Amino acid sequence: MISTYALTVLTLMGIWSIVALGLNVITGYAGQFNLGIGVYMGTGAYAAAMLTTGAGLDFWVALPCALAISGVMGFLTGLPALRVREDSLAVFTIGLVFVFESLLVYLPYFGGPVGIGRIPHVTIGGVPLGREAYLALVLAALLLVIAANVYLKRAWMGLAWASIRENELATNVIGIHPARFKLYAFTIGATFAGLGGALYAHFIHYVTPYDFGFLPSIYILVMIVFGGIGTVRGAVFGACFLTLLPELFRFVQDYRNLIYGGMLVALMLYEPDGLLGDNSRLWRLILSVRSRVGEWFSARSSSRVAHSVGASAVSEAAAAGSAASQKTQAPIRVLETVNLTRRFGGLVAVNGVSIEVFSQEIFGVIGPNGAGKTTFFNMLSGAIPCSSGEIRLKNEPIHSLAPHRIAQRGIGRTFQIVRPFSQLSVIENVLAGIGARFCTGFVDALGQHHNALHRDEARMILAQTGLADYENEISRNLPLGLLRRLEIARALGLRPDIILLDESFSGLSHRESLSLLELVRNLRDSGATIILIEHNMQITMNICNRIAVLDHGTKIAEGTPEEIRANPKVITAYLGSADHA
Amino acid sequence: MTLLIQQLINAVELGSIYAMIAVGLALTYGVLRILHVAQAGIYAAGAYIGLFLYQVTGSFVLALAGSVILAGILGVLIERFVYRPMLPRPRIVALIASIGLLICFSDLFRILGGPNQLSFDIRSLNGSYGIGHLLISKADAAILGGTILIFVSLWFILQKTRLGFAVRAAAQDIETTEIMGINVSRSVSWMFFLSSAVAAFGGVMVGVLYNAVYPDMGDAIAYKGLALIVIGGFGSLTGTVIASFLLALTEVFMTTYTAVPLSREAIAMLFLVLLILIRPQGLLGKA
Repeated sequence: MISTYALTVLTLMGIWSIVALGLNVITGYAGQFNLGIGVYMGTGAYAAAMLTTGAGLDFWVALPCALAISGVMGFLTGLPALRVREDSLAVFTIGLVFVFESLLVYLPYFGGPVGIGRIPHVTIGGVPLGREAYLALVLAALLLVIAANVYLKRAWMGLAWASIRENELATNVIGIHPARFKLYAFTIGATFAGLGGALYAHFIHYVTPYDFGFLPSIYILVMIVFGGIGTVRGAVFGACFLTLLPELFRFVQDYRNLIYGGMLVALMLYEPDGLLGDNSRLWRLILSVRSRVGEWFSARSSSRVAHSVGASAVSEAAAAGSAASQKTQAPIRVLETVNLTRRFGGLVAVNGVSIEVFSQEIFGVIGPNGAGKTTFFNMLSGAIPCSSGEIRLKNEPIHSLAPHRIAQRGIGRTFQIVRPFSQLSVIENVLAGIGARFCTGFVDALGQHHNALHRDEARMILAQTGLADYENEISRNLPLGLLRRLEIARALGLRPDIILLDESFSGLSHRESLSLLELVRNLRDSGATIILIEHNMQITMNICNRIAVLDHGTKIAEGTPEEIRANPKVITAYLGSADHA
Repeated sequence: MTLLIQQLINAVELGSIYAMIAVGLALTYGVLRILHVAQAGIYAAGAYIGLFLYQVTGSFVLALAGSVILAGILGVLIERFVYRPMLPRPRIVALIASIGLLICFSDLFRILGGPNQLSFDIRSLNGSYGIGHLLISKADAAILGGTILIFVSLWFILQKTRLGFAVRAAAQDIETTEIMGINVSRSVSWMFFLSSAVAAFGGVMVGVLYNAVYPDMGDAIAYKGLALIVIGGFGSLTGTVIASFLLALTEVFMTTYTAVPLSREAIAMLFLVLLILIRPQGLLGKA
């Protein structure tokens, strides 16, 4: 027999866990600071309360409505994410929670400062649920939300969120629209938080504006950070522990906040990943104990592990892939620019440049510093719009499209200053690139990336780019040479028609350059089309089929490496004319 | 007419107090990219220390000076022992620690000074000056004078001294500043000293102005300060100061002349939410 007190604490633990898991989606998965989760919890609570008391609906009818309303609230409050990012968004959510609270206080419709009381008991078949049954209901809801959190993390959606969290700028070039996925995160997280709110309302039986204000919002944020942000176990542990804490600290009632605040500071100093975060001491200890126990068990049972299956699948897939990419047709025109121009105020950075790039060739764009190479590239990938002129990919105009759309159409790119998804493993980086093909709609993005089919495709790309040995390495730990390969691998995930390499060779050692050179050549030979901009003449001359030379934004020459080498204009542009010398 | 002028004075006072908090937040954010919520704790600490020193010494000038210096040192300690180890971490770490500090501070003040409002009555500032029909209380005059002094010296330090130069350089690019041979760590300490001292000055002023010092006096202003640096445009000091005065004007005139039933906090936050929707980069921020 559990006491009423224990039942109350347990139920509250469940409810706070649900809300914390909602915030985990927004802040943990998608990496968007949200200091106003109370808005969504409050929306759910007030919606459920008003629908059951005012409109007299049954809880089971009111609940889906409350969830929908919370979701809409999440969507609407997520809309500014289309325009503001990072800290502005975080402060915006603070503003939101204060406005929300005062609207509830000052609009009589919502019951004013005293809120809404006499929220009815939840009934099933006319029978009100007792405390035990309500706890069971809360736990069932919690299990659902946990399952949803786990599922989402393994879906394309979760990978897209992780990409945004790790490097928002790089998500565009793999075809993922960051703002849109932030909106999804806000909507889904808000729905979970609203579920927690509705359950809270029907448990406490009255709600006031202050239950969902700024401080409660901060407490929920603290829960997920305390337990380990971005993990389900962390959110649940944090919520349970911090709900229990005031009860445990009753004997120091007077110093409670002091201890609480001090604990936060100490935790952030000594275990910033949270008590059960992926890199925390406690979690690593648990993992090592678990693996030791596992070893002990497997040592006792005679194990026959057939781990050759995976390897053979990879090689088969690789064979199939390279066969598919072997194109035997005559070269076709993949990309074309017509009089492409970009002005910055009075300065013309790129002036009427027209090029044509054919399939299975490496096309180099070279020029001295300030020639407009990077601007040209940024227009190709959509990072900056062109002032006039056209870009056509396989005869379709793409110059008015957003960067992620251009990526989806088949232009992959790398960055001069690498932008990997640093906390993700190498294979996850590649999967994120593959995922862009599946992240076009909400439902598609719910598909699982965590399966053999996609992993095999990713492994094939890793094998192709020479990264097979680093599959599970966290990409932050790789040296520059491998990170450049990783960006190419990530771009290959898109199955692009053309890959833009942005000074991929700069900063590499001689050996790294040579091996990257070989990779680029192999990619071309297996059917890829590549445009590269490069400072290093030797490399460009070495691997390019054709080269365009830019100087002061204008194309001054185009041709084979031999033609370029002999072109007097090029020599002047690079070495200065005899007059200047 | 008199009411209007009195309201204007109120707005200017309130605006300068906001600016004293927000400028420090903007500086900290500019250099370290930390949302330094605990700044408001330092502000309240300033008020408490000032009150304590005034009770002990009986001299307001001494109390003000002591409070400003001690709070400055407090700020330096916080930066050195709390924020600095967290700089390589994700920025949410420092934010959470900062919130923890703020909670600690208000609880500490409650334990030391009791949960109730304490009176901060400066006898020498009672009474008022008459200018024509207008009466300006000595407290108002002192605050206006003090504010002008503070902002002029802050402007001087930031624009005309080597330290200010270093801080502004670090706000542009901390690594390059370091490479250029500037001792960034010392500049950052000085910056914390300055912004904490200014916040404490604001705390003492508010304590005197409203004759009240209480544990969570910093709470509302902590979040308003964050709102202000966003409204001003992250990193723009001028924008932040303009935003502070605009917000104060809006608050004072909305609560006096209109029947909007919102609290001052809500007005500030509504201001923020609307501005972000209309002009995401803030008043003077670059897109």
